This record gives sequence, C-alpha cells and structure tokens, in this order.
Amino acid sequence: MSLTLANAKKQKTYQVSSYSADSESTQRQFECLGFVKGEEVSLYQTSSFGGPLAINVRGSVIAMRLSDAEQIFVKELS
Amino acid sequence: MSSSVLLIGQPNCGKTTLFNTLTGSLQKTGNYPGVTVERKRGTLLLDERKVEVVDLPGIYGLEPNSIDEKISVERLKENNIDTILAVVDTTQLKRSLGFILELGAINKPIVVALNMSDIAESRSIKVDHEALQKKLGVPVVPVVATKKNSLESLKKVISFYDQNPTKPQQIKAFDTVKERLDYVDEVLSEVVSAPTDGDRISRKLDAILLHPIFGTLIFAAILLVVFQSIFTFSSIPMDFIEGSIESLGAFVSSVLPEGLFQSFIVDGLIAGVGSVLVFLPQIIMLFFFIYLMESTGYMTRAAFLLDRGMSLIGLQGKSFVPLLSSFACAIPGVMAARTIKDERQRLTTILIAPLMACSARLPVYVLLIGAFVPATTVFGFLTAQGLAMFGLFAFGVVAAIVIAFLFRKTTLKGNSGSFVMELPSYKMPDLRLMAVFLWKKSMNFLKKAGGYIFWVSVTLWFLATFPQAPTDYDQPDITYSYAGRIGKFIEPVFEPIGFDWRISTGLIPGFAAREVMVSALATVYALDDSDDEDVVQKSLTEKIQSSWSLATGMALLVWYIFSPQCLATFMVAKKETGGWKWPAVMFFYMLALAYIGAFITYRIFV
Repeated sequence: MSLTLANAKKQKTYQVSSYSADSESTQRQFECLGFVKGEEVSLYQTSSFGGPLAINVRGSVIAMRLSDAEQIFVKELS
Repeated sequence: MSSSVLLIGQPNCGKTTLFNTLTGSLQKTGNYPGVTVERKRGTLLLDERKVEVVDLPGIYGLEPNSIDEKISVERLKENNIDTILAVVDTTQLKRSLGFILELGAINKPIVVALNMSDIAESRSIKVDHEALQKKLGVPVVPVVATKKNSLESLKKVISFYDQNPTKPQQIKAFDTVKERLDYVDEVLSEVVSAPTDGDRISRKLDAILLHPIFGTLIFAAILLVVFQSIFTFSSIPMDFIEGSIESLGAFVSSVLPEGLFQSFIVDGLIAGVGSVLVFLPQIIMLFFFIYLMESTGYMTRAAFLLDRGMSLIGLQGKSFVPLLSSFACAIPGVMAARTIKDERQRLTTILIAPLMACSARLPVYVLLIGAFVPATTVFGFLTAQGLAMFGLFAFGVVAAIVIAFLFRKTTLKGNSGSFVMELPSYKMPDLRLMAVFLWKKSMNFLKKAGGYIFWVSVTLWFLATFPQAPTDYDQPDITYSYAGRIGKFIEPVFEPIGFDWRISTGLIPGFAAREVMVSALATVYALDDSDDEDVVQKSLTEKIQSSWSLATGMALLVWYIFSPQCLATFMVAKKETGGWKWPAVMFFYMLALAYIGAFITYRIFV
C-alpha cells in the first residue's frame, strides 16, 4: 500500500515520490508550490471530520483538502 | 518614456502594500474588460518623471489556475516596454526564488525587491543581497514595503531602468521544476544564513488556533465578539449620527418655507441619505475586524477551520469572508466574493449572501419583536426578545445553507472545488495602513449605497407625496398618493399572509431599501414626525400592537427574513455577475421563500 500525503502523521518527515495518474493539472499547481519529486515535507496541522491538512513545504505552510493530498505519493523518511 | 512597471509576486508577499506605498493616492482602480478582476494602476513619481505602475494579481508560477492568474500571465507576456518588479517575501526565498528564475523566460528586465526584510532580520535570517544579485544577474534590493524611506534604493534602480531600456538580463533557464529548485537550494546555501526551525511563533500559535477543538472554540468566540460589536457597540456612534441627521432636518425645516421644496429636502433627501450614513459605524466596525483578521493572517486559519463544513454544501473555506461581511451589509459581501476562484461557488456565495441578516433589517426586527414578543427572562441573562432576535438570524443562516446546497446540486452543479491555500506566518497589523483601508472602504460604501439610496429616496418621496390629498381629506394623506393607491391595489395579494393595505403600502418603499419600512409605516399611520425617535417608536409600537394580530406580526417578521428588499444589492450583484440573470434568480427565490414562510407562519399563529 502506497503512502500519500493524506496519511501523513505529525513528527515525521516524508519525501514526495510521485503524483497519481490522472492529476496533471494538480501536479503543475502543486509543483509551483514546491511539491516536487524528492522534496522533503511534513505535517503542520490536521483537522477532524475529514477536513483539510496543512503541510510544511520549502519553508512555507500549504493547506489542502484530503482529496488533493491523496494524489501526492510520499515515502516516509525518519 | 511610456513604459510600465509591472508588480508581480507570489500571494502574501506584500506586493500590494508596496504598490500603495509607491503610488500613494495616485491610483486608478477599475476592472479588466469583461471580468471582475480589479485592475490596479498607479503613478510613481521619480524626480520629475512619472512612471506607470501596475499591480498584477499574485501568481505562484507562470501556469495560471484562475481568471486573475491568467490576466497576470497575459499582461506579463504582453508586447510592451515593461520593467518587471518582482516582489519576494524575504522569509520565503526557498519557495519564491524559483519563481524569479521562471520570470526570466518572459524576456523583460527584472528588478527584485526583497520585501519584509525587517521581519527576516528579526528572525535572524541574513541574506547577502549583493551576492544574490551577482548570482542572478539582476538587481536585488531589500525593502520594507510599509516604510516609505526604505524604498529609496528601489526607486533609484527603477529610475535607471526607466531611462535606459536595455536588453533584459539573461537568467538561467531550466528544463524541469526540480532542476530549477535544486539550483535555488544551491544559491540559497551560499547567500542565506538562517536558523533551521522556521517561524516558531506561528507554529506555537497554530498549535492552538488550528486545533480542531480549541481552534474552533476560539473562532466561535471571536465571531461572537465581532457580532456583539457590530450590533451593540456601534449603537453609540449610530445614535449620534441619527441625532445629527434629525437636528439637520429640524434646522432645515425651520429655515426653509413650508411646502413641497422643504418636504423634498427634509423628508426626501436628508432622511434618505441619512438612512445610509447611519450604517457607517457598523460598516467601519465590520471592516475593522476583517482587516485585523486579514492582516495578521488569521483569516486563512478561519477558512481552514470552516472548509470542511462549507464543502458539505458545495462551498469552500474562503466563502466565509463574503458571508461574514453580509451580516453588516450584503453590498461589500457580494463584492468580497471575488476572492473565490471557482465561478459556480462564487455565484452560489453571492446568491445566499442577502440571507445573512443585514443591519438594515434591524429596525424592523426591533419594532416587531418589541411589539409582539414579551420581554420575559428565559434563562439567566437571556430574554425571550434576545432569543427571538437570535432566532431570526439563525433562520436566515439555515435557509442559506439549504439554498446553497440545492443550487450546488442543480443549476450550479460543479466539482467539489479545490481548496489550496497558503497559511502565511502571523504578522503584526500596521495601524497606518489599517486607517487607509478603513477610509477607502467607507468611501466605497458611501458611494455605492449612497448612490442608489439617493435615487430611491427621491423616487419614493415623489410617490408618497403626489398626488397631494385635498385639505378636507379624512384619511391619512398617504392613501391619496401613488404609493397609497398601489398599496391598496396589491392588498389582495398579501391578504392570505395577513398583511393589510397599510403594510403593503409600507412595503412599496420598503422594497427598494429595507430600513425605510419603519418610517413608511409611521407615515401610513399618520403619526406626527416627532423629533424624538422614541416617541415615534413607542406610539408606532402601540398602534401596531392594537391593530395587528399576533399572526400578522409574526408573518411580517418571517417575511422580512427572506424578502428581497434592497435595490442596491441587486445592482451590485448585477455588476459582479455580469448580467441580470442571477440577480433575477436571487430576487425570485427570495420572494418565494418570503411568501411561503409568511404564509405558513400566519396560518400557524392565526
């Protein structure tokens, strides 16, 4: 089972590995924000009841919905 | 040299603040043709020359994701003699430097402004801007956009480029985003020294403010304070303004000879325009809170907390600001919807904005609750009247939720919309900028609302005054006028919901502006226009209590929650949606809700 950003947990670091197949526009949008292959990211804050996530990337914090986070595959570093 | 300086940068970099500081009051705002994207142009005075500065919508990269981003990219690429002034948040170089490199592809001269250099310094982030300048091959100037005197070097550089249009510098180009960002990391490692733990203050604050439970509670508390301020604290300046308007009216009455002209000035103009001025304290109060939340960065946190709930009805977290604004007045609320990029979500937000109980409904609510709801204490400090007021607000919000849900499932169906938003670090608001902001917003409100209300007042005065009743007329004069006749004529329509001809006559002016209903009712009951508002209020309350049934009073209350009675809102909605279609939809769905709601209420209580 592959990890996506939606599975991210606090206090852990992850590395962006790839985007899901049908997400070309999402990919372009997120790459501008710093979510490129190999980039280290971590969880900043989470929500309850399926709300958005906030992710640390390249020195800034980006909020996104779970549906977006599920399209970004990551590898856990530790 | 008719060249332009194009201000561009990623969102939250302080670009607009820089624009304001550079151009001062020499700004022109309008719209880009055909779209509701604000076009901001200003003039920068350099020595004796004038340079045009254009503030473009912020973009994260050269691939646009929305209409305003498209406009930025198009303008950047336009065949023009431009200098690109790229504004960067110095604390965000890791992400924004890549954007600067991307701009090289546009082939125009670039000047980089390292903004918020003061904040960077306070966080021990040291940037060797001269080294960065050498590496990039373009001028790099540290600035603090809020401080005018830090901009001297920047102005010198802009002046130089303006007088010497040269070939643009060659910036390194890259094939992939990854290569570009690797280069960025390389450059930054040489040019920047910074502590590795980022912004600890923001992190600590967000641990609480974004906490699913505590964050939400704090947010609810903040909203409570905002509402309390808008509806209670503003009453002092509002009463002051109201008193002044009345004094002015009385003074003019004493100076002008009795007759039509005096009536026109006092009852038409002064009363009409005065009714708009009275709302100014609430508008300012609302914008004060909005500015505070926006400039500190808290607004994004609020949108974050609300997004889940909003997504259930097909909207997203950013819809919150227009809807919050609409509680004071739907006019700025509808305009604020521009920040929502998804067109269908924006339309839905605009359509439900008027259901948020606005200030103009308050006079009618107060009158009717005062007349028909007992002033008994229900629990502690909660009174039946207070609860009724809250109930009216809540009813509107619930209706808005349902309507939004329905629209998003049917005619405005769309994808769930994406919600990608940066959470910038918390910042201290600048008081001077806040004053400028409040001033601009107030003037804007006065012009928009004042413009429409002025014409409405004049027209209504005419309808309610002509034709004049003969002196031996035994009924209230107003029944002889056009307004009165129309009221009698439409009475059958309102009979099933318990409104008699007096109420329907009051509704006619009330249709153009909600708050006018109270004074229209006072006129219909032929009360003397006493200077003491409380006297009029009390006697009107008594008249209503004695001549209306409880059912009628309740029905009118429910009618007022939904009824589309604000011409100004429709005019603004027409402008924002680019046509009459959506304002018409808004009008008819609200009218339907009002009639059905009033009908059910009347049948329950009768």
